[in-house]
Amino acid sequence: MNRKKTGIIGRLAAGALALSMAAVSSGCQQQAQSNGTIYVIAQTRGVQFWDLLKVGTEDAANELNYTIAYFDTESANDVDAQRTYIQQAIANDAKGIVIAPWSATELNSELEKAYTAQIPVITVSSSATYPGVDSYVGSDNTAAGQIAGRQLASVLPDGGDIVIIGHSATAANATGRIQGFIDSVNAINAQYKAAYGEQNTSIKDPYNLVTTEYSNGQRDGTKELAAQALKEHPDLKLIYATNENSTLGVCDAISEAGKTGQVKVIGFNSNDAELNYIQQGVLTGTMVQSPYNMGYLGVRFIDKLQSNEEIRSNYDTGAIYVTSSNLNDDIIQLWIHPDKQ
Amino acid sequence: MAKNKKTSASSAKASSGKGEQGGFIAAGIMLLLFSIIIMLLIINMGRTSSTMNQNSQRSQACIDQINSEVLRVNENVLEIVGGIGSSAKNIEEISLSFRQISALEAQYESIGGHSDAELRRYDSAKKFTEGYHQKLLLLQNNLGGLNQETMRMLYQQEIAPIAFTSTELFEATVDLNALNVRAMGRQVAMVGSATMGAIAALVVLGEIGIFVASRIAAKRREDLEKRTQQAEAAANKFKHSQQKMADLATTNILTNMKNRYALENDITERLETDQFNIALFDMDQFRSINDNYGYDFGDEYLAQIAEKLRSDFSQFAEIYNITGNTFAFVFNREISDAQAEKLSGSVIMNLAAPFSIANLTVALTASGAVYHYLPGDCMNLSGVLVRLDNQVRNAKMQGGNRVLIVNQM
Repeated sequence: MNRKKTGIIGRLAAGALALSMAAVSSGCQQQAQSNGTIYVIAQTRGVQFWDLLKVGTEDAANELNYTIAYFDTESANDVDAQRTYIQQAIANDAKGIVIAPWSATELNSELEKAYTAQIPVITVSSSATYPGVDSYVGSDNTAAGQIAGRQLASVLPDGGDIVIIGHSATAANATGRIQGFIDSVNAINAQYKAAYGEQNTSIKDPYNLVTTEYSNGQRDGTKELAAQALKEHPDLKLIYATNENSTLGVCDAISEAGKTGQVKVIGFNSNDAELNYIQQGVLTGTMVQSPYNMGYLGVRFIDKLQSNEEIRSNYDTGAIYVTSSNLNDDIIQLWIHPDKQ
Repeated sequence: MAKNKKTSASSAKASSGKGEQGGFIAAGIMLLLFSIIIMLLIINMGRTSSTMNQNSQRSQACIDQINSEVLRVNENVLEIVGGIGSSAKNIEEISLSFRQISALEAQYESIGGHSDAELRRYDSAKKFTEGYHQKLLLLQNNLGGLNQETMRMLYQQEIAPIAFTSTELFEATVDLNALNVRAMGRQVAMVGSATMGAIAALVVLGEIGIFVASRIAAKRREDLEKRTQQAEAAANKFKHSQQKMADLATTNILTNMKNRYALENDITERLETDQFNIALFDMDQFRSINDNYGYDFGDEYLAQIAEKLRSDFSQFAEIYNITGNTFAFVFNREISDAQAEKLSGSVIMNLAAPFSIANLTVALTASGAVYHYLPGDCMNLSGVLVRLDNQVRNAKMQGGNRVLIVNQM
């Protein structure tokens, strides 16, 4: 009799437990639901800079409960591919677009469509001229070029011939970096002239910008261009390169030509191969950016826009000139290896 | 016997009732335990969420203060860059702010309950603040050699981004803290509603369970009562038929008198201890009646004889119809030996009287024997009857219609 009773009670307890478990599990499912998908449209595939940017977007998406759809292009300047990705984002009702446009102008009509569809757009690393873009998050490329140019005083105290190799003729990050560098060179030359050459017009500028070449953004292509420049300009003292692949291509050429130390290199970014070149002395210094923070803040700002919070229309994530002497500073390690912190 | 049955049945009922009661008490205790556990859970949940909220508020307050210190540093830097005020005073205030920031960071780190994501963001923000401080210290050393325009560009391009990213990451830290609190709040609310659901389910199921259990118990009690009644009825019926069978076994159907088995039952126990008078009577030549008039006639004759003996002598003796025409008398205790002999003589006389059966009148004599039995005379009834039978046979051999005394053999 008693046994039977406990059987009934057992069944009741099991029933209650099952009910409460069902309640809890249905609650859990509700929480796991995503706030939506954010499209991240980056530039070149297989480049560490963009990998870090991707990690930044993913970390923010995890924290804020979004899903990331990440796209990059196989070749440089592939505006068409980026156009397609924007169209996809609009078609799929994305919660936002984080994009590094290959062109400052050519994607404007697509960005306008996104604006019309009320999809927030944040440009990262490279900007677009379309005024409907909500914010630009990245280095101020002109400023980064100027910082790089200001280093000439210590890198090339005696002046000399300089070649610029840009990774693109159209991408805003390339043109800004080139313009900023030229600005600094001109400013230093002007100061020099002001100090010494006011009366003597025969005094040449200490820093001579020989030429500005544009590669296809690939390492091999840049290497050929650099090798050519080394041949054509025997007095060349420094090459300035504007992104990861072009910096590596220049370093490859100098290393192969046996001109390490004779021809200095100021580059951009900080992948493992570049850090290696810094240690070997081929790469004199590099402008390090924070692609991780660009991606992280890009997604964070999309989330803020989704909850109608104000964001700044232009957010400078900064750029630091890194050489072998400050490479191990905490903040620089954080920028270079954000995924290992 | 019937009474015994009834008490055992009612005691079984009582004990089963006790078992049910025990089950209900156990169920009640379990329900109580469940409720207590759930109450403790709710109390604990309340405590956890209030600790969580306190921690969160303290953390957010720390970060907010850090951010305002970073902004204060920035104001001082701007004054230096703009050439406003005394840079020595600005530098003093900047280092004060950074000392304050260190203290606030230590305070934030001592508060528990930060999520991994929040700590990670905090760590980045902290590194940015340190980088900012170092950059400022570096510039402080070269402050004299820089013109205003260069300082302005340095600030804008190399200092401000780090300062602002540091505050932005601290803000992200606060946001994550709030998100975490919200998520945990949701979790607490969820667990709370799940608990409420569990309580409600428990109450409903408990009620259903108690109802079902009581129904089952009632049904069982009914069944038991019904079975008990059935058993009693069956027992009564059995007892009745047993009685009937016993009666049949000890009664002569024809004369409705006790038979030899009844006699055996009645006197076997007395043989060792009692003194009494017993007599045996047998109709003489009774066989001729059956032969001449048939068994039915003989039966009717015996029935009338039995009726006569019963009406005339049953106040003096217990009468047994041992076989067809043989009767045994066990005289009552108060009947003396002499009285027994005298009564036996009357029996013979009565039996010899004429009877009218089916318009025919018949009369047969009878022979008898009286035995003044003394304790221990015989081992069993057979012994007694053998002695009496012998004397009856002797009486018949002497011509019948007489009574002999066993003791004078």
